[in-house]
Amino acid sequence: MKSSTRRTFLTGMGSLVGGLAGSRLVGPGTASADAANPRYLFVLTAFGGASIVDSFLPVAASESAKPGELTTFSDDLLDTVGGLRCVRPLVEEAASDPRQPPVRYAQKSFLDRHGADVAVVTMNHSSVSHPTAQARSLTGGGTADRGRTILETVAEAHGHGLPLPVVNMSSRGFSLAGTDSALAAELRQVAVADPRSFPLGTHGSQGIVRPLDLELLERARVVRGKVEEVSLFSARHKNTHSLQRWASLRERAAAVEEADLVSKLLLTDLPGLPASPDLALIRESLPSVDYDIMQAEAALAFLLVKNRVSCSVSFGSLSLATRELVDGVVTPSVYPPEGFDAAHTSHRVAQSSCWSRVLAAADGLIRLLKTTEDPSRPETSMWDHSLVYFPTDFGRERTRPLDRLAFGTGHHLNNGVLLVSPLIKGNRVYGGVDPDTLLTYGFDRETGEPDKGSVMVEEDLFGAVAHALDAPFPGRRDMPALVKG
Amino acid sequence: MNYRLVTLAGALVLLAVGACDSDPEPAPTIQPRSLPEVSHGRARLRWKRFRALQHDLSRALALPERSVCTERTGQQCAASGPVTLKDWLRSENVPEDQLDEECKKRQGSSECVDGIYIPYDNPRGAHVITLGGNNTMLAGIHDAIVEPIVTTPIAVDRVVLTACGERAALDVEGAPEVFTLFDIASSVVDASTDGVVATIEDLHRRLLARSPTAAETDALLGLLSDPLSGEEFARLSCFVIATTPEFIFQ
Repeated sequence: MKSSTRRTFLTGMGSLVGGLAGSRLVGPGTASADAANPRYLFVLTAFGGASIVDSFLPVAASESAKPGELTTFSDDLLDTVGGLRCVRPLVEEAASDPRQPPVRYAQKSFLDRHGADVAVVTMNHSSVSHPTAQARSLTGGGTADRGRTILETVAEAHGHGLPLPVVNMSSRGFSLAGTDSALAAELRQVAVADPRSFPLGTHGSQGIVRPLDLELLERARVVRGKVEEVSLFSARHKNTHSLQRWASLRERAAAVEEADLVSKLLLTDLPGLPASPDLALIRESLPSVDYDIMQAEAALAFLLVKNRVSCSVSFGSLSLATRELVDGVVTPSVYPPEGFDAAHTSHRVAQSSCWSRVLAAADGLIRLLKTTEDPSRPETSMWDHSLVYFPTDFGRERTRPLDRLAFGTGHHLNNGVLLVSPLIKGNRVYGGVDPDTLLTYGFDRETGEPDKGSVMVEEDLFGAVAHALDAPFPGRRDMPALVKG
Repeated sequence: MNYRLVTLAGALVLLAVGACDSDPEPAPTIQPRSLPEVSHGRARLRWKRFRALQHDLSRALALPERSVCTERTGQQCAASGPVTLKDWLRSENVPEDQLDEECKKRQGSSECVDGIYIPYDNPRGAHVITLGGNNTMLAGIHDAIVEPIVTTPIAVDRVVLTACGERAALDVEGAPEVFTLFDIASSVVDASTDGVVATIEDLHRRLLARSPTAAETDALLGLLSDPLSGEEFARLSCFVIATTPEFIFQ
């Protein structure tokens, strides 16, 4: 039933009608006669340990019994937007040392724009080893859904028939595929190291240095098929897993080529190959897309979903030195190596800087999604069907040398993460934080009421994301308090 | 362990009994064995990942490994070796035409001296992940894919088509090194052109280390169902042979 609906949808793509006249939506002007139930997952991996008490669950010094011993913030550094709180950019602390990374984007800006869709969800991680914790943050502790990543689980529900349902641009443990060998081959992730060159790898000849007429390539492929028909090697090994899989991959690869992804996904003009026609629109929301890898990844994530290539995309560059467009000027920026993990040596600035960078990319992506008509659901934006999940390795220690502003922190299991989506009940913290320990506590999954005796774990977050995105699987831990409807 | 010892002891006893037998059985004749049929789905061939693919193309087509395949972005399709400063800068999204300038800035010098920046062998390149490599230093991808993915056949076609095109073009522009058995510079080649069949045979030896069967040669001549230029025939025949499973798996 599901695949039939998808086929119908894909067929319908050919007869799509014009966009909404006068609408604020700047969509591709497309709609499907038989729209399915699209759901899009964007996973923005916060590498190294993004601390929730240094971002959207901070504690003011005046609220804590031990303000100087714990990683609290002076009251004037905190902002409140609706039901949420955040930390102002630590610009002065960052500027005090030229070796410190820049802090350019305010958490408050993110809440001002998207706060109604932001849920802060407290949780405990299960490992303080980076790669292990990263992988578990995507697999729900490894066991939530047969070892699948949340990307694969969402693709199982919404990705059949798409050319590349799961694309993963993240690093280290976040780059790993799930471990369920029963997962359909078409749902296996495609790992991407570089968002700029990736589109070239979606076609066998388009844009190669010495161009070749497509008709000649087709002729060669037909001849290759005939050669393989008489090949003793092919005859001898035709029943092997390797050759059967290769034949199947070639068939699917042909569909990828037919989708003409080079012209849709390319992020830069190359000789004879113009960039995606959406690039100008993207630059309005992601101004550093031409310079910064993380923003380029966000742009590719948007294009992959907008062009019905993927439904589950992960990104979160680890690149440290980059360039950003600041007030119209291309400015070199050096972010901490190992991302948020630079908190080992400079906790406050590292957290502030990395949150700034991650949120700037997320903000740009979400604004694009909000202003783009959904290709399969006319009169709705892509954002109406999207969720952005910010998994991270773990939290950070909460203690500091008395009253010090410059200090380092180790890893800590206790933390919380962000979910941003119109599909969830946002503008809310699920759980809470003890101001005297800065440790977070959980909540009732039915009502959302804080519960100091409970704690959510990776599997709960996995279930919550799957629940919000209507991705069923056996044993899913639903979270009615969080999910709308 | 005990079971194995008992079994071994039993075998030795039987051997001893057999040795004392006054009328031993004649030694069994070794029967010639036919090659086993590879028919069950669990048998696996070894997939030629990027290093082997690139190395074999380099050897077969007499191209330096760096010249096997480069994208329009300036990146090699796949490579490995120590990371140079320019490799690092590329990973930071510095455009190709600004590499020298950025390199000078980093070195605080009026000249860029590109050299080893990270002295560890590190795979990299536009398609290295999909071709079975990892890229630890520049992309934080530590684990290579276990088996080919949907973009792998595309990347293989792309790399081979580029390598074959490079060799053919070099042989047209200068003294031919690989396509020496027919006039690669000719504007029209058909199945009756001198050296065409010899070229097919030569390419098989270069790429697959064997001669083609008559059926394979006939199939390849299908490329000339409509005439091609010499360069096109060279490129396409090379492409066909080097993208068959026999070249990609071993």
